[in-house]
Amino acid sequence: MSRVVALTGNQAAAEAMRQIRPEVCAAYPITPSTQVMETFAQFVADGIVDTELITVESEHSAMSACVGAAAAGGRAMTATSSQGLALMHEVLYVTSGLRLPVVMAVATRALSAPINIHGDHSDTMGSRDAGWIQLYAEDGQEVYDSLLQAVRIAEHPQVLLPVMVCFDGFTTSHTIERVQFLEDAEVQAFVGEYRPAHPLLDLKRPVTYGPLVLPDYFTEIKRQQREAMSQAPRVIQEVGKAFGDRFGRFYGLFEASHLDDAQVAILIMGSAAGTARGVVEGLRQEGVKAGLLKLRAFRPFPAEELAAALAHLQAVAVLDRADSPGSPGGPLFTDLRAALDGLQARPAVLNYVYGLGGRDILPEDIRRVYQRLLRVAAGEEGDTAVCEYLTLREDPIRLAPVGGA
Amino acid sequence: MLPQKAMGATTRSPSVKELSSRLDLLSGGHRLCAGCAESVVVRQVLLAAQYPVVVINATSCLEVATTIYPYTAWRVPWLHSLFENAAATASGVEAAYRALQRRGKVSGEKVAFIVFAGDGGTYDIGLQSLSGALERGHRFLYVCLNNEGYMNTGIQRSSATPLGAHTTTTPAGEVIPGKLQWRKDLTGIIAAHHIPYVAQAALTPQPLTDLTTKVRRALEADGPSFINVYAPCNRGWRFEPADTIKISQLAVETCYWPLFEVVDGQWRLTYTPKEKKPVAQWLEAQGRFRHLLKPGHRHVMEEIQKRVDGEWEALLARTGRAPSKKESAPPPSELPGAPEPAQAPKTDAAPRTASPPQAREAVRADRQEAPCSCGATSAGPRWGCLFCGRTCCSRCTYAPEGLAVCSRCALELFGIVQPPALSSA
Repeated sequence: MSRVVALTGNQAAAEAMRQIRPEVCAAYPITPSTQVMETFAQFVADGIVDTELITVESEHSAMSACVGAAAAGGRAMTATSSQGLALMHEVLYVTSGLRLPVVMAVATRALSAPINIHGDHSDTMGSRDAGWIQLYAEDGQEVYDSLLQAVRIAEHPQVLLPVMVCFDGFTTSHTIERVQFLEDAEVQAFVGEYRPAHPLLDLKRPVTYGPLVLPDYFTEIKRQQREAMSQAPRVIQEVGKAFGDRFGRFYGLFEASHLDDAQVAILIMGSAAGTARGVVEGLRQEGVKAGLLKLRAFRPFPAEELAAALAHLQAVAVLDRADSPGSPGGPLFTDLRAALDGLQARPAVLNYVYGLGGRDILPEDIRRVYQRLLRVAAGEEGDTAVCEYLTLREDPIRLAPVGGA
Repeated sequence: MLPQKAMGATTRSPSVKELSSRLDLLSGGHRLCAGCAESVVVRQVLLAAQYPVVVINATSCLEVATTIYPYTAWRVPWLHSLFENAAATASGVEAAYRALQRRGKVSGEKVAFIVFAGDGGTYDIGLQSLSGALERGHRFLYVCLNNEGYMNTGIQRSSATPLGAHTTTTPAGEVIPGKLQWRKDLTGIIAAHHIPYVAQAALTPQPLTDLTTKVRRALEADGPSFINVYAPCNRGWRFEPADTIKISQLAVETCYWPLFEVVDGQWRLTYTPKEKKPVAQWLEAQGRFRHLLKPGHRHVMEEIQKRVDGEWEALLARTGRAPSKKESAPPPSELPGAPEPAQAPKTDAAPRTASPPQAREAVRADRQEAPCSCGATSAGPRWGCLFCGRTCCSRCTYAPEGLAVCSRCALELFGIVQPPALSSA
């Protein structure tokens, strides 16, 4: 039996955490993820979850406490955004390096400066090399479902890596949507019991966690992390299928719309995929062979699978919700270009940066991208592959001349 | 099962015989330097613990020297995460233990969670996470291995480094005589968290079981506990490896490092030297203070003595024991072999720096005193120049990082013509 409720993405995340019932949650408030831990704290206060809630004094300590709790042998979860994720940065590497299956909800948000509390992917893109699995959710339902799956993915013996479930700050974190919840018992049965192989708290078999590793072994340990990450695509798909088999909602590494017979397509992550899907439906009614690929697993990056899914297209536009100044394009773009490199004939690939600091992306913006893709496909425009900003103000702000007058 | 005897809840002092019958939980063969105090402290702490131990270690000499993969010197569960987050990491371990215990996933036995961190990881970069964990009331014992500097990175100053000490980031030079600031009163800061048990300890033959007794009391505390343990570093402080314990004892006998505990807010000395030795004896035993013995730097030694005296008297007051004449050290000028006076004659006995509470009494007294050396006659606090000792006031004092330098020295030494006014503390 399931319940359908109207809740924000943050509240959906909190409900998932309550049903997962981790041993420890460590919380520090930051917009726009604050509501996750507020809601969870109320659950604790009301006695409907028996998790140890540690209200730490910083995000650095939040992730540190998760490291301690996970090493101890418990399930550990937290939530954060933006500067909080940046402050956690060095601890993220410890979490993955110690192979601790921590699960974190990230309501994505721009990074300072200038300070901005609204959604983009600058924060999570900054963590893309931290050895965490990153799943991007489009709406509250995906946030909820992905958090439940994240526990199983993270704790899979051939993976043992932390997972962040990323969803767009405000757009998803604060929008009230219809979310279907599972029963507590169903969630418990799905996530199962966590049985760590070498818990710190096994007093009879003392283990040393986090030793100094010099050049003679360090490389091998990093190689094991890559190996674990390479197992993750299979596990993400298995867990997504198992979830679908039980509850009817299937998940994989990405989700394609009208892609099979498409001529051009957009690759996008997060909430804007919904807007893009609407545009594709409209274009299809007009007879345009437009498709959409919504990427769910950014880390591990499913290079082969994406290449196979996009190989038949004439042109693809990658929409990045974060820039990587100085690089050939946004993070999603550079990864995709590398993924397509092995193809005999690859589609033209365009790159747009959009939605920074919560800037709205409207259907007409996405329609403009498809129109350009069609021109590129028709040979009317070249594959310039220059990273462009979508929805940039037409009139740049004019600065007053120095010295007045 | 861990080779630890079930010893029951007791805060009596474990005898040396009893301790020596237990298995060392830190094995030999680790890579700490010969003469390092840290391994001795850690072994004593682990031996004294009356419960099974889980160790959380901050990045430090101790961490790098005891766990070089694939070896480990630890016979107890041990976790290292980062430099500044040992207390936060311990929070997570301890919270997970409570949750797992409540759910019947681990046994109900009492476990001692012990954090080891250096003074860099405690006084400086880890202070925030420690303060947070103490405020939240996590049940662990935090042991600061205080070797008064960043020794793991090669002897840099920390906020535990004493005034005048040479480190690689406060080198004794032609102009600046080592570190210009006094140490932070971390033990006092921790006590201000009003946790059940706070102590200062050292490796001392006299009293021999001071540290081990404190460990037992700390582990019985109903909440967080903290012990600041003096851990001489022969590489950083420049003394013979065989003298570690001697230096510790000197620090205690000079009252530079008094042994005390704060139990539920009650301050108590656990050892009072029969005769308070002049701090010069402790300084002279260490190469990091060698430059202070040269003519011209005598005032720094005097300042250290004054600070030590002030802190000792404040401690006596806190422990309910009024300071007595007998316990104050003779002024350094009366000491045999004391260096010659510095170039400028001392005009007064004003405290030479502005910040710490124990100096404030003297500053206030000076308000009634004679005009400042700059000619100012208005009432107000007076300081003594760090370099020449001259009296200076808020109008004429240059105050780098909380210290007082008179306008003449500021001009001569730093080329500063108009010293910024020092706000009166």
